[in-house]
Amino acid sequence: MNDITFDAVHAALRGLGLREKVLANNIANSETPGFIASKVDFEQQLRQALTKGDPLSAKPSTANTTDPTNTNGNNVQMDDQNVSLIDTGLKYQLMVQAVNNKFQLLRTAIQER
Amino acid sequence: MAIAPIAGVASLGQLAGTPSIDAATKAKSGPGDGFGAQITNALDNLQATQNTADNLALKAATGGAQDVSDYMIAATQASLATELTVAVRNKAVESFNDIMRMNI
Amino acid sequence: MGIFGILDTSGSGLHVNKLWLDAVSDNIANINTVKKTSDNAFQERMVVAQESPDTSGTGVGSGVHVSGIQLGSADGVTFYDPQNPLADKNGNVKRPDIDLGDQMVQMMVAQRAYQANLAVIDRARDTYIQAMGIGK
Repeated sequence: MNDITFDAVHAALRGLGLREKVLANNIANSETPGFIASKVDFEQQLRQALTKGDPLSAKPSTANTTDPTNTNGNNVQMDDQNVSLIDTGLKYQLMVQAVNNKFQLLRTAIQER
Repeated sequence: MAIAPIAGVASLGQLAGTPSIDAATKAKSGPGDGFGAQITNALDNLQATQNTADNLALKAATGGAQDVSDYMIAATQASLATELTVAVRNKAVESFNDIMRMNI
Repeated sequence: MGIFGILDTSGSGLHVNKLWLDAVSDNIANINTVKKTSDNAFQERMVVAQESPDTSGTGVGSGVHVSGIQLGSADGVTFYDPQNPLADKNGNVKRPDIDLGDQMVQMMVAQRAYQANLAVIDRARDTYIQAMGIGK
């Protein structure tokens, strides 16, 4: 595995970790009056950073969601948050697989027997 | 110590073209032509399989991938191709050492 | 469809069915909202669901979305209730044209549809986890 791919997967892991934190925060605040849910976007930044050749420079961006608020002023959509949580978890697992595969290739090459 | 393993991976692609590997594969491709040809093909394709797996991992990281099984299968193929190359290298080195140890 | 696209599709199904349940709960809560005959009665809220188009070229759509909320009839049902402070000179008031039985059926259908989408998400997640075990 070359370094660019490894860096991109590393950047993706960072972005996904941040997304998971933000989702957990949204879900924890699902009943807080006046709370506006946030969302993380790193795929866009990662693609742009890849065209420049330095994926680790991608900074994930956190923005407020534009979902409508309920009578409490709270706009957390529980089913969307939960589905996003599952999706993020699976993507994280896939990226961890990718990193492990890279290290396994190196280990195979190191082995004498 | 940390640099040596990375150099090892980088030169794996070149190993397929080094004389000792070539001699070993040519020796195998004499009588059992199909098997020898397969081994040579696998060694030649190592870089290609690794590149395919890399590209699919990149697509998955940026959110453009369509199917998770594409990457998993490509990664498994790359891993097996690498293990095959390493096994061939190890056997070739072993055979070379055996030959060198012969008393003429 | 992204790499784990089934989750987005079923998520859209969850969203629409939850909105349907919200609309039904709103209708049931207001089923006894009485208005003057000169005003519009409480109108039944109906969620209009529409198929989301296929964005990946596979021929399979990408779920469902709410294209709008339609309101039911504003005429309501004229009801004779002279004791009511809102009654007009004939003793009539307007009640919403909503059938409670119909709303209960809709509620059950929406709930089952929501559960079905949850089951799909569960299965899809298991499938994806198995796919990530390829080569182990």
